[in-house]
Amino acid sequence: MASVLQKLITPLFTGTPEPPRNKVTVVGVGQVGMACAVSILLRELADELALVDVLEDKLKGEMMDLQHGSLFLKTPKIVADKDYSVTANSRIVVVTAGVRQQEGESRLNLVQRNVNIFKHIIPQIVRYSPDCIIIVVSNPVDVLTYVTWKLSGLPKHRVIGSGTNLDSARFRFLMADKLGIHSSSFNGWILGEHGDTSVPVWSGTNVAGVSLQTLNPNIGTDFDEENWKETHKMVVDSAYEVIKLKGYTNWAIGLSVADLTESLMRNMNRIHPVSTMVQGMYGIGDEVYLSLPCVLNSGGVASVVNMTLTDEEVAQVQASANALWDIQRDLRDI
Amino acid sequence: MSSVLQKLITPLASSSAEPPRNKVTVVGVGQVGMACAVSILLRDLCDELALVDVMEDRLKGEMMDLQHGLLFLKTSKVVADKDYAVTANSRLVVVTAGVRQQEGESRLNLVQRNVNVFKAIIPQIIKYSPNCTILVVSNPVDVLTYVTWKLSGLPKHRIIGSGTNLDSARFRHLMAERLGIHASSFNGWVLGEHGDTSVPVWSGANVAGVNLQKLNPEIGTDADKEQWKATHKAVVDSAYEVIKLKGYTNWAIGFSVADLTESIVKNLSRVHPVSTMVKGMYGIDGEVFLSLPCVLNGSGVGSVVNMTLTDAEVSQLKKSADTLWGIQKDLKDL
Repeated sequence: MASVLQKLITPLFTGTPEPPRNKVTVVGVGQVGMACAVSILLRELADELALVDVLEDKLKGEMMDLQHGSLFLKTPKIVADKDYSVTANSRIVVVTAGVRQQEGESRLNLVQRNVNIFKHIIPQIVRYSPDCIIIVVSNPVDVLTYVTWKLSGLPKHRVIGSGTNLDSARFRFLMADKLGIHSSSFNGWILGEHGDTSVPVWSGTNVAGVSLQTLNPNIGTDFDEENWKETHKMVVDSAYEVIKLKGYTNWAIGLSVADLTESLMRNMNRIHPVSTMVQGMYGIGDEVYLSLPCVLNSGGVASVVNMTLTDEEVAQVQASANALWDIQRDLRDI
Repeated sequence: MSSVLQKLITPLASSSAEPPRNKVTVVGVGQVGMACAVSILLRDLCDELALVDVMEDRLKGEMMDLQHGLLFLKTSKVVADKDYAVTANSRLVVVTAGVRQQEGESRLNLVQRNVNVFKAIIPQIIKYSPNCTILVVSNPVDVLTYVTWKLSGLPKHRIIGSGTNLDSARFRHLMAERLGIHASSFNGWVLGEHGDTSVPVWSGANVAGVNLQKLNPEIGTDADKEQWKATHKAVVDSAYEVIKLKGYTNWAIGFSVADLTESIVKNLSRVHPVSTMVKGMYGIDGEVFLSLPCVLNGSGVGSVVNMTLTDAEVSQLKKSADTLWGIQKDLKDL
């Protein structure tokens, strides 16, 4: 006897279904991974979403909870498994896996712990999605983006670190708040290391093209009566402060990852401060990943914008590069 | 000496800032509250978002984490405080506060615990937003929506329980999956109590107007060879299953609340299965809140759709009503 399905629906096409064209995988279903997943879903950026983790129950629970919301979404397929075959044919893979920063722990202290985890993850990703773009979010992001690049064998333009995209967003929020305008109307870039030695490019800060440094030549220095430098310090302290208050950060990083995903997925050529391989630029001799303004499109990092940095800013970027290389050269087995 | 702000920006409008027109407050910044907040933000539904909770650090941390993402959002103001003054002039207040269901605990066992929490919350909401619409999410939602109505003194069309909006979404997802179509193309309604005694209206289940009960007259009964009834059972068990796997549910309920929010703030007059005061309908005498298909718009519940239910379905609704009244009549201090 024919089932309801058979009576109701007559197939026209019975071949294999179309493969996904805009598949995104998120590795790690902790707070950050799920914030990335939900931001991507609510921005309608993917036609398929895959989740991977080692905690099987939590993974299944998160997958089901998202699937139960499919009525309200435009991503028709949400899958999850600890086996990476579920990630096959991804355009973009967001890596959030790893252990999180403890209260007071600097990002650089996490390193060797997370390198060992990546040795299991990265080869599997590339095996099933050899043409993908990888966005690394796990901290310390610049080092782990370097590690990912090494472990993946992918060309450098397809491995991106979330870098200072979030630092710049926080900077723009805090600066704009002081000026009574929306963050998107405040232009300001934070480059270099995502972390304690990030570089606020005061020379470039502007609103509607009006340079703040021209209005206040002491901006960002210790001589500045308005102490704008404090705002950058707040950006550096942001993560620690939110972690102290709620135990972790997730929403802002999730939103910022969706923003990067949108540029990549929609081939937009928008410029974002993200972590890319900077050897040869600004006098940097080592193979390090640092954030610079990068043009992102469906190929990954299409190009890098050459900033006009002051000598002091160049020195700060070089200092970041040295700090990172110090850690990287001692890493084993990559 | 003038500040950067003064040099950069010349005010034109000298009156104080416009009050918000589409302010949404979320009470409770647990997993459900934050999922509601983020879904509402990512769908651009409010011009101001207020968060309230008793846990001050966590509240501040969550507020900051969202603010750090404002660059990527169209909601310009996110505020938070344990003092309800921060919620003033809200159009919609989403109440997620309360203690959550433990593994194995039925929703009805939560009741008196959450009533006491609501006695501190509801009068404060009304004090600062006397014209708002309140959407109750905390469980057991039907009882707590009744409690909210009593404590608020608001007319019944302004108090809505999230009710079976989520049950219906899960039902549509699970049924659609069996039929290989998208949830939004499967029409099916689950009414009555949000919980163990919810009523799947099999007589109305259809795809493109094709009535499933006509294709399979035994659908939903024990005699049904295809056991479609199991799909409704999976809906009832859903929450328990996800709680067992990941400790709680939040995404699906968050998306469903954003869906209701959209109808209210955009004055859409869409029909949703939500919990409303049903005394006088279907032979129900008690002042109970149960889910029926309601037209939601800027006034709240504009009207209720009169279902053509079978006798069995009517008696199931009455049974839900009796169960709920059984609990409500023993509640103290309303």
